Amino acid sequence: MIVDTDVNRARGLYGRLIDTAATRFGAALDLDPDDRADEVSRRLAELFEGRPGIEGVMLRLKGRDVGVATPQRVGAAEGFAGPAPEWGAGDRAGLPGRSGRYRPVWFDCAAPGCGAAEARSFYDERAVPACPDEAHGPMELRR
Amino acid sequence: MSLASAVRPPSELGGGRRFFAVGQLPVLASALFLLVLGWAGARGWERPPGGALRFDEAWATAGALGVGELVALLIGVTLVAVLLQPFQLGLVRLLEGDWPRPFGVGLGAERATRRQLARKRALAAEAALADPGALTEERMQRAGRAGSELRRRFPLPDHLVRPTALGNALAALEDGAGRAYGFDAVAAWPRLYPVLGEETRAVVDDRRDALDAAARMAAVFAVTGLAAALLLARSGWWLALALIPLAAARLAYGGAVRAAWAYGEAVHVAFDLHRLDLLSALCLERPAGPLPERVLNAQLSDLWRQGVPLDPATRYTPEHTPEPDPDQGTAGGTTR
Repeated sequence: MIVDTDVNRARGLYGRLIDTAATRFGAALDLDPDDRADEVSRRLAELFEGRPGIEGVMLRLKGRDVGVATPQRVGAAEGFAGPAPEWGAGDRAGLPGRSGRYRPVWFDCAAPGCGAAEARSFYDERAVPACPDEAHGPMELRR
Repeated sequence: MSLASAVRPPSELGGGRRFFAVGQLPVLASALFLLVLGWAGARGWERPPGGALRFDEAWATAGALGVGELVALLIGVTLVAVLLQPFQLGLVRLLEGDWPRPFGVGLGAERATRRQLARKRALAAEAALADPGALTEERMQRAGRAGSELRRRFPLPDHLVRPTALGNALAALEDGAGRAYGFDAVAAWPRLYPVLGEETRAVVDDRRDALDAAARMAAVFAVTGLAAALLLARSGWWLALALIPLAAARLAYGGAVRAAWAYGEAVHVAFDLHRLDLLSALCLERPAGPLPERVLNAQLSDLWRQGVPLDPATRYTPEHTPEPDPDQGTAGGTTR
């Protein structure tokens, strides 16, 4: 099932090819959710070259309209398809601060009756604590 | 070419609106201010010719700049902006009150934190419902507004309170956003951001850019004020001109605090509207209700924050087999 998330993701992925002001199109191009942006750009360029008279091509994702690609946008994109790159835009994808929700990660010895427990500030499968009783081996994560 | 025509965002270089507002504009304004002072005769090592600054000479010099000089100025500004870009996060943390230990003590970090705590407690007192049985409508609305203000401006636990208003605005956001659904905002946001809808992302981006631009301006103008003070050190009363960038820095800092409040609201809304899109993107089964949702999101937050693996009982959504779609019909036919 295609949901709005997929259409929105497609709009972002192929943003440089889409002219949001364009409403007329002479053909449609069906896309799959995992189509590469540069491949879509190449197919559009071939389509416009083969049919020079058409004003635009509607990009569709399983029957849902994504947007109209125009020859001008495809030409200007020159092989790129995503939204115009902005220097420093990646900073938006992180929050400026640090988490205040750290909690102890507890491990318990799995040996019956042992009762040994240890806490760590993070989990890594390569650094699981071992029970003080060497015979009991590595401890288990407490959930 | 004139100075005015040179002040255009060079988006064709791939900079874009954000880079211009956050990176180039503060540095350009600072460079122009210091250049004008220098052209007017301000020299930190000697008195200006005639004992006074000559701004008519400064404007004449500015107006006579050649194309090569303007290009050199823009390249210099862009270079500084590019060099400062990776430090943006550290800069915001500095304004939040994350001061290196020796400087923190010197700058009165503890005193500043106590002052912020006092403000928080004053708001908390106003938000308290001392006698719910005798509550009037007016008192309830006043307490409600104070409570909203408290949650917007301060993190709830006292140990998270920071020395500055900006720090507390961002701490409030990081402490509260997504919490109702079990998320740790700081851990979840880098995963949530890519799945935001277009409209939500536009609002979030706009408010984040405003915050970063104001923070950068506060820092750059503060440094400009110090540099201007050095240039004007031997210029008598003209030294007061150094107060202009310092006042602008103070104004920009106030703007950064307000921008942080607005950004916090946008992040809260982003969690409200798109938290289930995140689960879809992770191919996880949608929880049946609020309680299992909180359990799942707490586990995800533990994984992202501290590497704790998910419960082995967690289920991924089954792979969808696409059904053949009917031809919708187009003006020119459909191709694949």
